[in-house]
Amino acid sequence: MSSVTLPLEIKQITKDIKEMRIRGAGKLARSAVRALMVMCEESSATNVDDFLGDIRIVSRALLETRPTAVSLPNGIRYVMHRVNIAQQKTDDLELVRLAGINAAEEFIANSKTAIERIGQIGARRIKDGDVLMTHCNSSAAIAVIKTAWETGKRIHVYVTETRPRFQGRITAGILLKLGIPVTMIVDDAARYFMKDIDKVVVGADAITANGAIVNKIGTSMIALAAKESSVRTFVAAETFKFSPETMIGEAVAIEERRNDELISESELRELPKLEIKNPSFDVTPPEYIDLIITEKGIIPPQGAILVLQEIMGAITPEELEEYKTFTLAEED
Amino acid sequence: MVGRIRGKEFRGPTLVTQAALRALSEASRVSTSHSPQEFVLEQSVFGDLLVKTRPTAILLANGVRRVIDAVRMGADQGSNVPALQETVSKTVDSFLVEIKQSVDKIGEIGARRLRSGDTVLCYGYSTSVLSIVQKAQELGKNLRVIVSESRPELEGRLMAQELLKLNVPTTMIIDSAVSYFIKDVDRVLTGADAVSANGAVINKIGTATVAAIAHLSRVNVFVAASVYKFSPETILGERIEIEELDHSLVISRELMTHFKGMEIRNPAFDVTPPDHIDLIVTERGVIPPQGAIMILRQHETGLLGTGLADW
Repeated sequence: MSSVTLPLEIKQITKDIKEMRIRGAGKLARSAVRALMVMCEESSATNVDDFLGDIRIVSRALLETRPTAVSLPNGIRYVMHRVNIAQQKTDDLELVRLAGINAAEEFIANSKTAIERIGQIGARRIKDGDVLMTHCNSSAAIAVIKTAWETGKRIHVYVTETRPRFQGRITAGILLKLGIPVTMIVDDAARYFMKDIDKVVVGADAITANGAIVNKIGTSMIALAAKESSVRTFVAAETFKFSPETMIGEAVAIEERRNDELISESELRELPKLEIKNPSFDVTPPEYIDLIITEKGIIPPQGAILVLQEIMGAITPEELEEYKTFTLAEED
Repeated sequence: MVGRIRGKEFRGPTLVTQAALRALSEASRVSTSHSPQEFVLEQSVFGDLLVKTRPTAILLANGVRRVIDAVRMGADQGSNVPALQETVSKTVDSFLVEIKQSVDKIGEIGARRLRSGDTVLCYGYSTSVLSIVQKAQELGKNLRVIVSESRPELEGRLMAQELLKLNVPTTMIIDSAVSYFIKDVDRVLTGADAVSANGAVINKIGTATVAAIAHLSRVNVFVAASVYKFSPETILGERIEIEELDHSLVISRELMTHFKGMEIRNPAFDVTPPDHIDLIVTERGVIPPQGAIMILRQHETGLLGTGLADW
């Protein structure tokens, strides 16, 4: 280890992530990768081993900031995977350093344009006159809807309100601003209206190796109702949402949120014995999903494993220990 | 009273019907009608008004129909106004007693279908479901109940309060979490607002989704419904009307000002197909949903009555 004190920018990024000033899966991953890139550039190491030690210190500091994100460890893994390949091939510090910087730049550029590309690719699957349904608030799903609308497809969108935190209202607001006709319904009414729907478009918080989608609670029931009614379900997700741990059998743990999201503290005091369960996400099996729209193209859910291998490489349990993601949690 | 019923002050079709029939009886008591014909007309109009406040509540329609049929028959037989008032009061009282008895009987029969230690998922507010759970508790079956809150009116909370009063361990979840927890569930229990001739069940919006996910996960779905919830009109091809509730239940009026131009749809009920229902628990016993037609036929004289064409 050549440098004990981290460059100022890295410290700032770590602090901002920890204190939730950097939010959203994409920004989180890009900031973490940016910090790694700074270390690659500024490490004063004189040999490859010391250099690897330096970037490991940064990656560990980053992983400890927000134990709940999927995108952040994936960003780190993306860079580390490429640095590791480079150091197996050469002892030249500058080449390894360059591999790290290139990987980081590539990841950041790809992540920045991912949403836009998902929008372009996904919109081609939407037909003029389609009635869509979406759940929660996903920028990737909105990109698909927005691009379809902007390319002249006259669509109508049913938005579920998304209990308990009503993120559907954010989605409705965004779509209305674009001029898209919106109908809001309670989550329970999804099946009631499914016969009027042509396509369900949702985002994902995480995608597992077998192509199951971890997304906002309620998604699996909407996908089931769609399947039952022969309505297609599209999932729009950046490739950094794919979860490599699941390749070695790790299940994605799901966060339970505060009880007062369901019943206010004061009302709850009157029901002292009532237990409340409030998971944030559920798992939609791959059979209910027709396709996943990523920035690298459309894949069937069963193709998730290919995306994982291409981006993250094969992962060993030891590597998992090093880049562990923890519980999947919703951001406040 | 009509306002309070329409305002959904009463949850669950049984509570609604009890309140509405008491209102009908009260209206009869204070009637100033001078002739039997005027009285019949007055009661029919008010009865019709009550039914229209909750068009999906078949129990209410069947109760009002029973009262109006009795009044008409009395008037035809030459009864005077005080005698007709007596008829209303007696008919309402006996219908209310029947409702109470049917709820108790459903509890008794339904409880036998629950096993000791079962985890039961309840959806919406239902007097009959509460009766089943209560009976099962009395039999020492140690149930656990998961209650789904039931947006947008949150009847699940009222259900949870009642369950906690019975000392049943109760867990509350949001409706979207039903599939997340379905593997922990042994039985789904719901009530019904109406049962149609083909065995489809009309109940609180979301019931159809719960039944679909339960069916897929091989969890049995039991519907608790008095035979008075069976809708005779559906034999004649009538569809059961599904009300849409006030939009402010989904988004408050103030908040709506931020969503100019947005449509809101808020259906109160949905239709669960018979293939997703394992059985219906009635006061006459357990039937498969496809047996609904049998109940309706058995009941033809009582339920279809003489005035079906008028409804």
